[in-house]
Amino acid sequence: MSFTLSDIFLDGLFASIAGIGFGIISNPRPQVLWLCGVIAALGHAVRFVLLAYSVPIVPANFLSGLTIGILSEAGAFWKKTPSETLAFPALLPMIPGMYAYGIFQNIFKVLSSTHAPGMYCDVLIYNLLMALLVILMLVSGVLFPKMLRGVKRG
Amino acid sequence: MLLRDYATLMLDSGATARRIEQSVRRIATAWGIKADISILPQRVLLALWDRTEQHSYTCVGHKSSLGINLGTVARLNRLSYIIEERHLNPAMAESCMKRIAGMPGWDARLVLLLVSCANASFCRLFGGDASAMGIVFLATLLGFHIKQRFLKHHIDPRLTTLFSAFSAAVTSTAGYVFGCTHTPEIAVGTSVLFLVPGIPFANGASDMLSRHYVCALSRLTDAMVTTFCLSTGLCAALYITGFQW
Repeated sequence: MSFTLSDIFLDGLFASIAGIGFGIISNPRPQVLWLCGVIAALGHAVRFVLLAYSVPIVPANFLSGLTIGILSEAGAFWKKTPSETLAFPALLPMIPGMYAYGIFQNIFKVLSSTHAPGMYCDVLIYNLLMALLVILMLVSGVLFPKMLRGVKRG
Repeated sequence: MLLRDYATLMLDSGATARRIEQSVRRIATAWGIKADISILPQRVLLALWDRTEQHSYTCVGHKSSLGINLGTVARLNRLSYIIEERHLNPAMAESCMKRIAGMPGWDARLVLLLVSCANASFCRLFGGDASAMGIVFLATLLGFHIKQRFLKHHIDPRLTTLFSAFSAAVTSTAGYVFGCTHTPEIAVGTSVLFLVPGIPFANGASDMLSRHYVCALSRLTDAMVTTFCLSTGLCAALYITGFQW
């Protein structure tokens, strides 16, 4: 897949708007809200580039979570705030909401289908696995720098 | 009692279990006492010992449903460092904590506008065109406004999610009705994404990775229940309007 710098820029821009808009629901401090948007933009842009190079979605999410984790640790040190108050709003544009509610949509389809309900079961299991794995990989990536710091202190 | 209230307020505000443990232990060490904290889904159990470990106290804090407030988490965390560095006494710490708990949040109208812009941006990220973005903006404006109103009147959050999702999804079917967008399915699919409990999912996963499995399961279950209500609202809207997605 080919992409240009403007594609990456637009992807980051819309991700930052999404990160700020959804992050504000959790009432972050005004001093860090703009930083959440910047971190969301960079993390989402990393994922965009990785997916464009055909990296599978699960490792791509881990690496973008790692990007967010590293930037959040740096931002937390600068703004004297817990890193998760920066990282979790920045993760919001990448939380697999469609996979998550797709689980229940397919359950309803299985229950209401009069013929071949099994065809929805494959999609249901796929949505369930994707939702769980993507969230776990995103948060693992975010927490990885913190885990390394813990090892260093012994 | 102050440490119990501190831990409970952090749990109410959506702090991770690890953050609560670290902050409480930091404050306890600064005051020369030993604290052992157990974080349960709806409770905080705190056991305190004096320096000589001859007297101990146990107290239980009860979680209330204040809603996630990362600003409070950040300020309480900062307070724990100030107590450690400047040796604040409990009376001053309590007064700071009450001030933090009483701080107002962002203006509701600004939140409504930004959430609507955010969801429209989400639509763009999923490949929606400009018309789909406009439809999603309006759908989110209505859905989130209903959510704000319902929560202000203390209506159950799960019912609130269901009705918000329903109203947003019905509005988003305008793409099919008026034929004004080439990506009506993306408009419908993204119109309810503002209700996805992203931070509870992230908190639950974080607690799981920190080995607080009980807390993690509780948070993830809450998040799945919310997602179920969201999905029910969406499916009901599609069923009533007769559109397939």
